[in-house]
Order: sequence, then structure tokens, then C-alpha cells
Amino acid sequence: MEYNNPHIPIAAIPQFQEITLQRVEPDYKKVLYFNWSIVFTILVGILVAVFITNKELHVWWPITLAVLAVLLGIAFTVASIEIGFKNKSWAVRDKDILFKNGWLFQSTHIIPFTKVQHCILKTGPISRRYKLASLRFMTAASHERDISINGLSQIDAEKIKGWIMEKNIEHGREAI
Amino acid sequence: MEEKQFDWYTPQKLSPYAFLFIVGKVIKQSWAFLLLFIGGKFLKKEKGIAELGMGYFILIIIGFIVVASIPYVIQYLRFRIFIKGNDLIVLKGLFTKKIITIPINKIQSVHAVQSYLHRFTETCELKIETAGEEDTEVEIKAIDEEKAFALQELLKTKPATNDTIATAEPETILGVGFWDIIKLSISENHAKTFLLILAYLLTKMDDVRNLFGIDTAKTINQEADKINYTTNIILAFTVTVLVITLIVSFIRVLLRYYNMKLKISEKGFETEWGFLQTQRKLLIKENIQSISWKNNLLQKILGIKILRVFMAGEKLTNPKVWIRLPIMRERLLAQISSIYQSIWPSQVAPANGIDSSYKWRNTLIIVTPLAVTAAVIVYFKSPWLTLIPLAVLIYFTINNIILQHNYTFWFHQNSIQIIKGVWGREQTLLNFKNVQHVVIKTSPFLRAHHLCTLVLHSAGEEPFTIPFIPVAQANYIANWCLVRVEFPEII
Repeated sequence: MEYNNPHIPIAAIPQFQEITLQRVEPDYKKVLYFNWSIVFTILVGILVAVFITNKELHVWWPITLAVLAVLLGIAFTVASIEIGFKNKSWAVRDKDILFKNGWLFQSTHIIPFTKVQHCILKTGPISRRYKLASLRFMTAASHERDISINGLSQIDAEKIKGWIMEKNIEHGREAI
Repeated sequence: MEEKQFDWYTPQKLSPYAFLFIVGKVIKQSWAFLLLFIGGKFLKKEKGIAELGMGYFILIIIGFIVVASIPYVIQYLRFRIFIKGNDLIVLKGLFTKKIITIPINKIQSVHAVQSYLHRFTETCELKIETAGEEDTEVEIKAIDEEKAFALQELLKTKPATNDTIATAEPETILGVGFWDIIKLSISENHAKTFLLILAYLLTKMDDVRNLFGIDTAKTINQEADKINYTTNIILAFTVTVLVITLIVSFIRVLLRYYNMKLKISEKGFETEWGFLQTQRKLLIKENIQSISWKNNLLQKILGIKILRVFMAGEKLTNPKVWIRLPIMRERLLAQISSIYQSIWPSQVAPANGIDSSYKWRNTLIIVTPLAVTAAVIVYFKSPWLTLIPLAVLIYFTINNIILQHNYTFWFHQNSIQIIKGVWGREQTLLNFKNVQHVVIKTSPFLRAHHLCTLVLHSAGEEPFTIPFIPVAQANYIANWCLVRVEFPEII
């Protein structure tokens, strides 16, 4: 039997942090605003209904508190969309895919292609209008965890999905 | 004794004894209804039922069991299991025919369980698990014992091709004796046992209230009010609770480790254990995702470690299927872990710690606000009660200081090892090749201090998390890990 344990210089190891990530499509911001505006419309609707039907709440301080809470929620959402959007980025390397997201709490995910069991391409009614799609990756470690890149163009999403399938076939699906 | 040969390439049925388990399952599922029905007859609560003749009464019960069993009987008749090529095929279904095809090389573990009824009927329950599925992929309630063991052996030796591999006879390396059981019982987590007893009693009280309309909590309170509490009574009560807890702990240990044997072979491990139920599980070496060993304070003093083997596809939420092995000798730990990782990083690499801010960040952000809020609330009830949240705050502050101090990790080219714990210790070993997904997390505080949290996800456990380490170090580990996964040829 031949034993091999070659020395690998650190400089020879691919560095994921040196990759320039590509931002998601600018139109995705519109989709985010649209989705959140629906959420806030429903929330405000429920609050108005509660305040109208409940006479005990017809006092200045609960109304002020509710208005302030809604305004704070809107401000936080706008900030998270505007600042968080800058961090939503991705990159494909020969053997893995990287993506970054988050505003206050940021995460960088790296998934080797050989570990992807399958990936799901999703489009919603609003994102279809802007020709956008999401890619969800399932690995043996996913369980119920959602690992998705949102805001990709439909063409890019299709290309990445095809690339992963191709790489999976090329390397052969390895055992877990 | 000559061993029977079974042809697993022809469809196999369930054992006829499976009918017994079907009836058992129906009774188990409808025991509340049957109890109400029987109660209605004998306590004369339901007029219609109470007036029924005994013959009709028994007939109704039998009729109910028969009708409720029909779907299961159809499932029994339709069930077939066999091997075709490199796949295990399972045919089942009630109204629609379901065909489950499992590639044999994707099978992570084959688990045989024998209760007393199984042993009496020479059958066993077989559970087959694969990766990526939270639940057991195939569960066979009763199959002939010899057939099950033959399938277990066949799946163990059968690789992706039809060629059979000659394997060396497995060697028994672990056996748990009576004194080991005693030592394990003494060092069991008795606080957990006590809480389990309490939870069980509360559930049963709820059942009694739902079934018979008796408010058990109120009755207990009324009876407790009548007692004249003296020091002797309180002492006797405490001792009784302690003795019951110890007995239950002993029973739990007995059920978990009685007659435990571990055989090691080139292919992996074979474990067998059980008191009332004999369980036999096969662990294929390639499917082991990570291993961990831990001990509480008492176990540390007694030199005991509990080793857990994390398999791909293992149901994390079901402790019954976890592989836990009591390690009474240090040499045994090295012998078992060598199957997964021959050299531990702690033996060859320098130790690393986590940033000291970890201790006070947890205390400041999570514990302090909760303790202060609780203190303000209880202050209005009685100022003395504020001592409780204060004590909790002090306890968790000390806890976090010790936790940060003890947290150590090592890594080399192939794997990473972590040791952590407050009063006891837990060590985890993860081979980089088993990592499925790498995540680097940061918060504003961590970014300001050039720190981050590294999370390595594998197929068989909770994520492997190293908090508050320098970004450069996390990137280095992540890059190494990716090299091991993406360039297996250089390993």
C-alpha cells in the first residue's frame, strides 16, 4: 500500500475571503418593499380594527404607543432593507457556492457542490414580474433549515442550478 | 447450529406474529376510549352501555378492535421487502401502492429492536435509516429474527456492487457488567430524573382529570393542607423523594446499558443492549459523522465517560435511537475513536481558546436583563424575594466565566476537536470531510473586535459551533475544511 500525505503550503489553499462577491439584482429591493408593505398594511389594519372596536383603548397613550411601535417597525424594516441589501451577495467557485446576507447579524455561507443533495428554484408572483428567483440548497445537514439565495435573476438561478447538477455528475455523488 | 440462509432477492413478507403487534397497536392507540367504555359499563355511568349484556359488551370490544385493525391488516398483507440490484425495495400502502427504493450505499444504520413479545415470538422490529431524512425511512414492526439479522449482515457486507467482501470476525471490545451499572446509576443526572418523574406525574394527573373529571391537583392540595408539617415529616418526605429518584435513575441506567456489548470490525461497530428490549444496531464506519464524549462532575470523579456516535440521518430528537456507550477505561476511548479518527488534534496541535469577551457578553446581554426584570417584578411581592434573581445572576456569571475559561479547541489538517463544559466536560471530534456546509457569523460587536463565530454543519448532529474566535483563524479553519471536502484526492 502506498501512503501519501503531501505537504500543502498555506498559500496554495484557495481563500474564500478573497473572492469578490456579486450583489443580488437591484430589483429585489422593490420585491422586499412590496412584501413588507403588505405585512405592515395588514398589521395596521388589525390595529385600527382593535382600536375602533375597543372603547377602553380610546385614550391618547395606547394610540400614541401603537403609532410609535408601528413607526419604529417601519423604520427598522427600511433600514434593514437598505443596509442589508448591500450585504446580499453571492459567488460561484469551481467547487462551491458562497453567499452572504444580514444587516446587524451577518452570515457567510459556503456550500461545496458535492454536498448538495438537491436545489430548488423558487419564484413568487411579484419576483416573476421582475424576472427574479430564489435558489434553495438542500444538504444532508439542512434538516428544516432554510439556506437560500434570494434576489437572483431567473437566468442566473437557472445557470447556477445547471452548474451544480453538472458538477455533481462530474464529481459523482459521493457518500455522506 | 446451522444458520438458515434467506434469499433477500425474493420478496419477503412480515412475520405472521405481526398480527399480535397490530392488535397491540390498536389497543395502545384507543386505550382511552376502551377505558371509558369499560368504565361506563362497570361504574354504570353511561346508561346505554351499563344495560348491555356481558356477551354483547365483549363482542362490541372485539368488533371495535377488529374494525380498527383492518387498515393495518391490509398494510400487513401488502408489505414486501427485498433487494434488487443495489437497492433495498419496500412495497407497502393501504389504498395507493407505495414503492420505497433505497440505494444500499445510502443506508446509514440498521437497528433491530426486540421487546419481550418479540423474543417470545422469535421476531424483531427493524428500523432502517438513511441520510437526509429526519424520520426512520423504513420501520418493520415484526419480522423473523433470523431474517432480520441476515439482512443486517447482508447490508453490512454489501457495498455498492454485488460482490461480497470477506470480513474478519468482529471483536468484542466493550461489555457492561453489574458494577459498571451501579457506578453509572450513582453518577446519573438525578436532577433530570426528578424532573422526569415530576413531568410524568403531572401528565398522569391531567389524564385522570380528563377521563374521570376529578381535579387531582385540588384534591392533593386539600389533603396537603390537612397535614401538620413537622421536621420529621419534611425529612421523611425528602428521603422518600430521594430514594424514588435513585431507584428511577437505576432503572433508566439498566434500560439503557444492561447487557451492552460493542463489537468492532473493519466495517465499523455493532452494538447490542437492552433490559426489557434487546436492541442491536449496526454502525457503518463511513457513515459516522462525528463523535463526542462527556461526563458530569460525579462521572469525572469516578472516571466514567459517555461516548456518543453521531450518524448521518439520525433522528436528533429521539434519544431512544442515540448511540451512547459508557466508557470505563481511557484505553477503550482511544480504541473506539480510532475507527473515526486515529490521531486526535489535541495530541499533535496547539490548544486555542475563545475570546474573553464571550463570558461577559452572555452575562450582560441575556442574564442581566432577565434577572433585573425578574427582581423588579418580585420586589413588589416581597423585597426578600429579589435575592432569588440575584443568586441566579451570580450563578450564571460564574457559569459563563468557567465556560469561557474551559472552552478549548484544537485542529489539524483532518479534523477539529473541542472541549467545553462548566462542572463536567464534553469533547467533540469532527472530521473535516464530513462537513456539509460552513457558516461564518458576525454581529456588530464581533465585527468591531475582528471576531466571529464559526459553524460547521455535518449530517448527523447539532452544528459544531466555535464562538468568538479571530476572523483570520475562522477563515483559516473554513478554508482547510473546504479543501478536505473539495479535494479528497489529496487526503
